[in-house]
Amino acid sequence: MRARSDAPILSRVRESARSALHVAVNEEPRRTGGEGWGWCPAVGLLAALGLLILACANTAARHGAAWPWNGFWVGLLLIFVPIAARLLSSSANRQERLGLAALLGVGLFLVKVLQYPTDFRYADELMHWRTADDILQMGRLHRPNPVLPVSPLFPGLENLTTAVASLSGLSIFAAGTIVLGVARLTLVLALFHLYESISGSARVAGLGVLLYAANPNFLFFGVQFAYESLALPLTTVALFALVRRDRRDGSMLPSTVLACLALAAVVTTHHVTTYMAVLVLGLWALVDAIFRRWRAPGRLDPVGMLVILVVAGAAWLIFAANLVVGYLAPKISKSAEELLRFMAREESGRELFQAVGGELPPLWERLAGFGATGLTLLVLPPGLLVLWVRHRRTSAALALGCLALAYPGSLALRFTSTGAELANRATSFLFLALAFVLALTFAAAAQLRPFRGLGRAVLVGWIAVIFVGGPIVGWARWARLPGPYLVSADARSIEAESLAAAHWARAVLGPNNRMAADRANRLLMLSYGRQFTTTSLSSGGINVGWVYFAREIRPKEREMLRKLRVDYLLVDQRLTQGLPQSGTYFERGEPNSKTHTQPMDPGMLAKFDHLDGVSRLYDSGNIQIYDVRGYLRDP
Amino acid sequence: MIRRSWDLMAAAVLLGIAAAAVLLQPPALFRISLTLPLVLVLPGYAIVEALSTRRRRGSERVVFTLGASLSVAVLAGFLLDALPWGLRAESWLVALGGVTAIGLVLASARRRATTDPPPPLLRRPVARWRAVVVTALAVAAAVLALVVAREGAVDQPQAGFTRLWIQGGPTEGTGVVRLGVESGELGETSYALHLEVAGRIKQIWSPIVLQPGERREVEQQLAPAELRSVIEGKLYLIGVPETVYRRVALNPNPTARRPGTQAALFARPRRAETVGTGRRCFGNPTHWPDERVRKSMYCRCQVLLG
Repeated sequence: MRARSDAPILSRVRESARSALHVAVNEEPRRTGGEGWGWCPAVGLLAALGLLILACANTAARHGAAWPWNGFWVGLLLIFVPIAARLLSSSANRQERLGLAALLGVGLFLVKVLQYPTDFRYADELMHWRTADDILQMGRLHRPNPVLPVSPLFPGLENLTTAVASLSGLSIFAAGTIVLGVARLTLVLALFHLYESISGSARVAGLGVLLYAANPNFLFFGVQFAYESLALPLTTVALFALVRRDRRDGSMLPSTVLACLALAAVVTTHHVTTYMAVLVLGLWALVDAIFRRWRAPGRLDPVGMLVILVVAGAAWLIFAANLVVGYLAPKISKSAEELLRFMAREESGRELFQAVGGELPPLWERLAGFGATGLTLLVLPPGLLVLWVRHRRTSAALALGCLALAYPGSLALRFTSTGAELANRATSFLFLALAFVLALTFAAAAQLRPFRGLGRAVLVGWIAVIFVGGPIVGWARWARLPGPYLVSADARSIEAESLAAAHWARAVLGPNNRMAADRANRLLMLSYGRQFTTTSLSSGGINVGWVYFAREIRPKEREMLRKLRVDYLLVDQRLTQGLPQSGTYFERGEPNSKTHTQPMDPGMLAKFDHLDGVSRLYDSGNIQIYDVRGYLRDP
Repeated sequence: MIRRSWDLMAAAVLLGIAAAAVLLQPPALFRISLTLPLVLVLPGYAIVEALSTRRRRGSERVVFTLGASLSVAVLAGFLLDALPWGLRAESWLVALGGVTAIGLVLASARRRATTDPPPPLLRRPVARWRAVVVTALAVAAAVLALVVAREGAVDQPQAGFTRLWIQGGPTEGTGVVRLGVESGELGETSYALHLEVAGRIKQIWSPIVLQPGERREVEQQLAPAELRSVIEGKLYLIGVPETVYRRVALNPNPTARRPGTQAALFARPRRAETVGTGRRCFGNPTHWPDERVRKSMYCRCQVLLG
């Protein structure tokens, strides 16, 4: 005893830490709870009550009430916290953990469904709706989509949706919602099995799914009707199949075939997910090559599958989807350029959390946003330590550890305006790795004495803060709840009057006329109106916003309209009522894009009434549609 | 034999029922519930069972079944696109049904050739009434949430509006001009519709009384000379004759200047202008100063402003 007390303090600290780590990484849960679904029904009831609160909050928000902002968080936490508490508990068995993971995935999916339960409203959703509608109408793929030209080149989601719609007779919205729900269920189940296969622990698997749900895109972006919502679950299934391959138990052939099938579907469904899958497999293959001597007997390296994926991805890119290069390259290069300028202090960084017009979200939201990132970074190193101590002989685990290290780097991109979007999109993929590493930390911490019993509430609170930070960081405040009209605010800009104009255009003007419109009406005209709405992407870089912002139509603007071959031009007077919430009235590259300080001048929109040869065909008060064919005709 | 492949036989029966549902088109609810497994479950299940040499854990099978089903449907779309029939209900049925049928046959043959133990029969779940009741309550609450959200979305307060449009005439190469009015107002509304040619009134339709959602279309034959002039449709609210409520125009002759076009068609108040109590006119309708205005539409606000 005396010798121990005489030991240097540093040695004692080291010994204590080693002991704690030993307990944390080696001690298995003492109670497994036997078979059955355990607390799943009760936790499910709480989650359903959370959904009910969210539904009421959405309805109240539509009437302009203020309480829904708090109701939103109460409902979300009522879904998340009980599941987190049970997944941290040592008494839950595997079946219960699996059930809780599925409950979490489906419960949070329904949060998005409750927001707009009658039709698709997000900008990306309307673009993909058009592609799906084209397939349904014509029975053929690859019809041009002027607003998102790459969408018809990756029609995986639309294939699946139209299969359901054709066979069942459901609408695209209903069929798409079912497909997205099944995809979400597939994602959480595949993630659970992936993490379980790598870690050998159902507890780590459950916590991994829980922490993945804290990524900023999980709640809204990840379940919108867009290609990534399907491609990511399929990638996870493929990764699980690859991890599951083992020569000894006869699972090699089936797992390889299933992985090939899923990856082939990914290649034809989403470009970025394909390239991220290449990155993950490449990293895994590299780590596996370096630590080859530790490979478990019977396990296969992922090189073969990596080669297949690279060949398939490259072939699809070259022969079917070469537009992708022109679509993605400018965004990536601009982000890199902005980041370099920011690092060289040539450019001031983007103001975090600042919305259009300089509005800031409430202080607690900003604190939660920073806190979530800080707490995530804080638990990353211990997770990597546990990973090295316990799972370094598993190359897939090491690859996930390496990938998780990219997360801190991605945060730097958030200080640039273009990079912020890329960083936000990347979290869906980075969290595949990050969630695993964080889960190792939390699973280990839950074994430590201070975090048992009531002390576990600290861990639950920690994870809850990370979860709350997700939507705050990743989704605009005005977009979290439905509500009254806002200018250029995607779903919040869609009202009956705009819908009526789109339906009128389809019925009276007929489909596929070339039409110019602002951001919100362009999407409605594209989808429900079935018009060929012009964008700079589909029109050789000509941005129609410059025509709208001009004080008068001069030869330069007329020439732009001629080059765009515009037949009809839509004017929405509401653009003069406020600043664009999304940063642009029309699209990036318009005058004062992302830096508007005052709404459009009404005179800018009134100028079309003074042009000879321009007919005003439609007027609903806020919206007018002009026929400019006579004006643009050669004299 | 039946014991060994009871699940495959069940899948085959489901496939047959789904095919019948597609071809016979029963009521919507039956068709939906019978055909969804054909896309989302059966192809994947057949493939997983055809490939598996040993029994996988139940949850693992679910993951692979869902993943394979989604993948097959994605890839089948490209195959169908390459065929003359395209992506139609019948061709989807053949493609997905074909994959399922082939998978089931292979799975059955594989099972016959191996000595693996048969798949476990479905066990009758142990009835824990508390869990059943709580689960039922949870499902009921979730369904209620969906109903509340849907009702809220359908009944979202909207500003009323009226649509006026013009067709025909010189743009269609005919002598007939057609005008349409549709009310999206919140209550019954009375209008007067004027057709003007070169600034002179040609025809008046009044009163046009429309309920919300109701529309009225009128047409007028014009002389060839009139078709070369500016043709305008002006809609007035009964009782507010001094203000044009909606306006449309055909401007067929690029050299003809419309009378009175030097001024804006609608003298809209600028953004910062105020109404009544001094609160902003535009923006959130709930911020509008009094109930009478709030119940109306944005443009009605202008009418009140005179």
